[in-house]
Order: sequence, then structure tokens, then C-alpha cells
Amino acid sequence: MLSAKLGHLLDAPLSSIAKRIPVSPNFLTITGFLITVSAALIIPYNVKLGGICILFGGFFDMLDGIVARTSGRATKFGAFLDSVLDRYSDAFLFLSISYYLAADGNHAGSFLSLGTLVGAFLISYARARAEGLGESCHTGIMERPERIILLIFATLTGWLCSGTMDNACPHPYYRCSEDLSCMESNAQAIIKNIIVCIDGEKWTEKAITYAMEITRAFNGKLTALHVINPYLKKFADEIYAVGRNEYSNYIDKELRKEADDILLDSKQWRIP
Amino acid sequence: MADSIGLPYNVIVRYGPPEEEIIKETLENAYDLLVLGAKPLNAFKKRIESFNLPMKIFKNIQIPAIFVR
Repeated sequence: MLSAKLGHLLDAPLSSIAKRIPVSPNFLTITGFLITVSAALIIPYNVKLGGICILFGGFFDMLDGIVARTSGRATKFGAFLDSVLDRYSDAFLFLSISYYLAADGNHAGSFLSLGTLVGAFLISYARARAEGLGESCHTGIMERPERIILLIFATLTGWLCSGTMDNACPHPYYRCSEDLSCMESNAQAIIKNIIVCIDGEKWTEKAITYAMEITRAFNGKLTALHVINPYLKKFADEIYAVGRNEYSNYIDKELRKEADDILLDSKQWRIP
Repeated sequence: MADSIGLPYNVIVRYGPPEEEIIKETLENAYDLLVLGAKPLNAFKKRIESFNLPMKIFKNIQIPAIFVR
């Protein structure tokens, strides 16, 4: 799409620079490839720096074609080398992004990135196959220039989202394993007073188990906290003009009943 | 029962918006660790604080906390 419209548009303004570049276009192609590979290696550690590197690599990628065309040094080998190294740099970029996302626990994103890689390769395959059969297949919406521009944009703006809130959260965000035996071996520590929040939901049960295991391991004191959330009473002022107090009391009564149920439930806690 | 295995524990009930009350409770009494169960969220909802109540608590709390998802 983009390359068809502005494919050789930059040839004219850049040709004066291109003529002055003494090195061969193949050298530029390989340099661009090496920069893109280094970008792929940087991305897992620093996404923004990786984006800047992709930008440089893309610039070299653009330059090699222009140099080849304007200085009359376009060769069949150069065109072939350019296409093949483009595929390799695509592979490196998407693999590194998928590694970065997978390391963050974002498996859906990692999978999508690999899917994009497959799509990117299929574009080239479909085209080469069509041309091999004597047809032209220059259509589609996301060719390599668009893909790389979108990728640069995403890496620089941080839209390449990771699964965790590493920027927003001041603490490191730990993931717990199921195994708590490491805590028992270290039980002389200072954790004595443990508070666990209970709300009667099913995912809280796991937290209660953790809290009890930790309390037992540290020989501490456990406090369970249940917070009654009266958010429904906010609506009393808006909806119920008549019987507002009754509504409010009813909500209070129901919430208290729920709290009682939860507290009763807490009597049944067991360490599995 | 939790009592029968010799775990001393008591139960507190508070009234109000949960995230504020939990933070207040940890400020008023000397706790060493907060354990909180949390609903498993997808990556998108995790980034948005109104979905991710535990993160709101986590940012404003003074003591160590464990979230169990």
C-alpha cells in the first residue's frame, strides 16, 4: 500500500546523498540487517531503545535500494539479498517481541506476535509463488514498510503492552508459587501479625489458605477483615424518593446478613 | 476449624469502601503482612485501575502484601 504509493518517491530528494555514498548497496543491506538484529536483542531489555534501533535499521533498509537504483548498481543478487535479509530481520524482531511478552506472562500477546510472523512470511511466499506462476500479486494492507512503521510506533509509545503494570507500580510484582515450604524453613522471621481480607468470593479461599499457612509457619496471629461495601446506598438518593430510609435499611440488613454468612463460613476454615 | 488446629485468629468487620477501609485498618493496627485474594484478570483489565482494585491497595499500603490470584 505505502510502498506502491511512495515507493520511489524518496529517490529524487535522496539521490544526491545516495550518489555520495561510496560503499556498495549490499554493504548497506547487511549493515541494516545487523542493526535490526541488535534491535531484536535489545527489545527484551529496553523496548524504547530497541524501537530506536529498528528505526536506524529501517533507514539503512530504505537507503540501500535508493543507492542501488540511483547509482546504477542494482544487481539481481542485491535484490535477492535484500529480500532474504528482510525476512530474517522480521523473524528476529517478532521472535524477540514474543519472547519479551512471554517472559512477562502475556501469553496471548506472545502468541499473536508469532501469528504476525507467520502472516509476514506468508505474504512473501504468496507473492513469490504468484510471480513464479506468471501472475502479479501486489495487493494487501500491511506490507513490510507499514509493519515496521507500526512496530517502531508501538515500541516508542509503549503501546506494545506487557501483561504486568511495571511502570505504574512502585513495588515489584511477585508471582507466588504453590509451594510454601520455603517459608517454614525460615520461620524465625518477624512476620507475627497477619491480616487477610475475606469477601466470600471463591478466589478468596486460596488467599485464606495462604494466610493460614503463613500464620502457622511463623507462629503468628491471624486477623480476618471483612469490609461491608455500602455502594448500593449511593443509589438511594437518586432513585428512591419515597421509602428511601426503608431502602437504606434493607441494604444494611442484607449486607449484614452477608457479612454474618461470611463470618460463619470462616469457622469452617481448614488447612488442606 | 481454624480454632481446632490452634490458630489464634479474630475477625473484624468494617463498613465503607473496601479499598479505603483495608488501608485504614492496616494503618490503625500494627500488621506485618496483608494477604488478599484477587480475581484473576486478563492483561487488559490488569492495566486499568478501576478493574484492578488490589493494585490500588498495593500502591497505597505501607506493609508487605501478598495477592493470591
